[in-house]
Amino acid sequence: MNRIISSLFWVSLVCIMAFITLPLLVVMAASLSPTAQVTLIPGEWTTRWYGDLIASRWLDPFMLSAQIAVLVAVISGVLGLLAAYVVAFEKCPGHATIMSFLLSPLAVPQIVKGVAIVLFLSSAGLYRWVGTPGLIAAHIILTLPFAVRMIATAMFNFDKNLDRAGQSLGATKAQRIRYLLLPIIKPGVFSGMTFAFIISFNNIPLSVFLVRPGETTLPITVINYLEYSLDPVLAAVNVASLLFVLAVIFAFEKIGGFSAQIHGGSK
Amino acid sequence: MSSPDIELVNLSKNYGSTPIVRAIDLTVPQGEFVSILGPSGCGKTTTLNMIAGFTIPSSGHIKVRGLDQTGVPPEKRGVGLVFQNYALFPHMTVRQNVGFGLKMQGKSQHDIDEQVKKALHSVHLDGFEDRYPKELSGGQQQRTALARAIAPRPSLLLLDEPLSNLDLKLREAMRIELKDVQRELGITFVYVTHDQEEAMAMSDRIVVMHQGVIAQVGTPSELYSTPRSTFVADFIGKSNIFAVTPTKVEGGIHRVKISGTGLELLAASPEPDPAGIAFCSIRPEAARWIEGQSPADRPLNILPVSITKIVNLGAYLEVWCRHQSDTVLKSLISAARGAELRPGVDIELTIEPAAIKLLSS
Repeated sequence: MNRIISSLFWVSLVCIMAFITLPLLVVMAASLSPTAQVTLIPGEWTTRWYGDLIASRWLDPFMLSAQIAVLVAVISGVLGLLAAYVVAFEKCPGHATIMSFLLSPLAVPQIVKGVAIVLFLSSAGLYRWVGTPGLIAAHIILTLPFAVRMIATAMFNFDKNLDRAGQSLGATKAQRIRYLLLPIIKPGVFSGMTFAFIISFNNIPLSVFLVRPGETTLPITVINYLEYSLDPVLAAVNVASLLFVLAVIFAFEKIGGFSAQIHGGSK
Repeated sequence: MSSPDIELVNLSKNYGSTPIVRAIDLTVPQGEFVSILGPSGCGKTTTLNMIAGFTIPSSGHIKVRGLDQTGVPPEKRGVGLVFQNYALFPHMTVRQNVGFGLKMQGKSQHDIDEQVKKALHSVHLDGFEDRYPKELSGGQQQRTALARAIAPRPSLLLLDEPLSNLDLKLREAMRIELKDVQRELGITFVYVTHDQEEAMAMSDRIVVMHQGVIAQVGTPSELYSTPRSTFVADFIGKSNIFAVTPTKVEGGIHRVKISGTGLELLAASPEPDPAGIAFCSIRPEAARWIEGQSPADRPLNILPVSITKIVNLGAYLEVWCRHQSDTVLKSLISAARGAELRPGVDIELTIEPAAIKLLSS
């Protein structure tokens, strides 16, 4: 009986893993396709599509997306930290309500947010903001709830007795934040920033309203390209950006050490 | 003669209209080991938090080393604190944990290292400097927490049930160590606990708290031998407590009748006013078993009883006895002597009149 359950477990695990990874494997294979049409011929492959990526057509959107994502991650991290400190640590009056408010953008579909932001910018006479500033602002609206949520969770889990212990040892509030609170919640801050980065870097539904010609983000460029042709360059773009995001997650994890937190134990 | 380390003057704390601590007064001299003992909800932790500065008193004053602490934040009080869950900084090594207070004082690295070494030595943790808290056992974590609290040399250390997360053996060993550290460093300890054995084992003085007021203050032996209320008699050690009505006083000996069963006992307690007598307390070891023939010179208070239950405590047996009046009394008999005792056996107990404490409440 146990054996059946155990083999069922392994079968379903393999199915889930396959479900997650197979599309990626197909994209990876496609990016090495020897012909301009996406074809998979065993034993024949080329890296020339990756060579095509080194052109401003792809590099410029990539740089723009990366810059926006970094800025969005940093600003979300800072704002999220400040908001979470007041709401989750200091528990200011009405903190539960403020928390719900901070998380409320999650409930609004991105398309609706996108339309709302464009309408707002145009009716407020800020149409010139469309482009990079608008993208950054819009992405922050989208990512802030994630960052706040992650950082607030880390703050909730922070043992208040540590703060009291620091206090009884003569540490001022600033010292306690610097030496106790920040180092301990750092994994939460970095995981929030990582989420913000990924969400911003991959975003289409909001960005599509806010890009302007000659200033498009990478996912929008991919969508635009897809309208005219489906060739292995797209697969190469996807694989390259996948590797880039993985590298960023890895780097953030190295600095922030948040995998311990995600796996449920940083202590 | 140094000034007292702590003075609590008419100290009260209410949460809303609920009084938690009611107008307590307490003076703790420098170097004393004082336990605040009481069941949960008696206000002992609130009192500790007020001394530490985490809780603001509703009224009254706290003086530490003669200085009024009203409005002084915890970080300026110079009062060490040891927590029940240790509250070690998880991201710091033992060395950094213990050195934290000194670092906050702006001491040089050289001084910090030296004092950390000393503090770790006094809690027998030499060589553990570079471990992280999660790499330590519960007892080692507790020692680290103690070292961290004593490293900045506070004159006063507050301990909030610091041993309650440890297993029994370790707890008993740590009691002795704590007491040794306290004596060696001459620091005043205020030790909050609900464990009367712990308080009895370590304290110079015990403050028994009950429902927000101090029920009694005294040395462990005073509290044990002369409890002033049924609460203290019951909380410190074990007691047979009966509601009684006094019937007669003769030459300092009170004759009292146990309510409900009518059993009469003679008590030599120095309770002056018979009108104030409402209860009596008899320690189980005071209800002694007389073997074999009763002596010719029969003592007072001889009770023929029948054994109903025996609880084996190792060295002693707790023998539950029923008198023919239906009074149930616990007696403590050494296991060696009582090896033959069984439920259903009839024996005779005697209680010295002086061992029967008469109480008003």
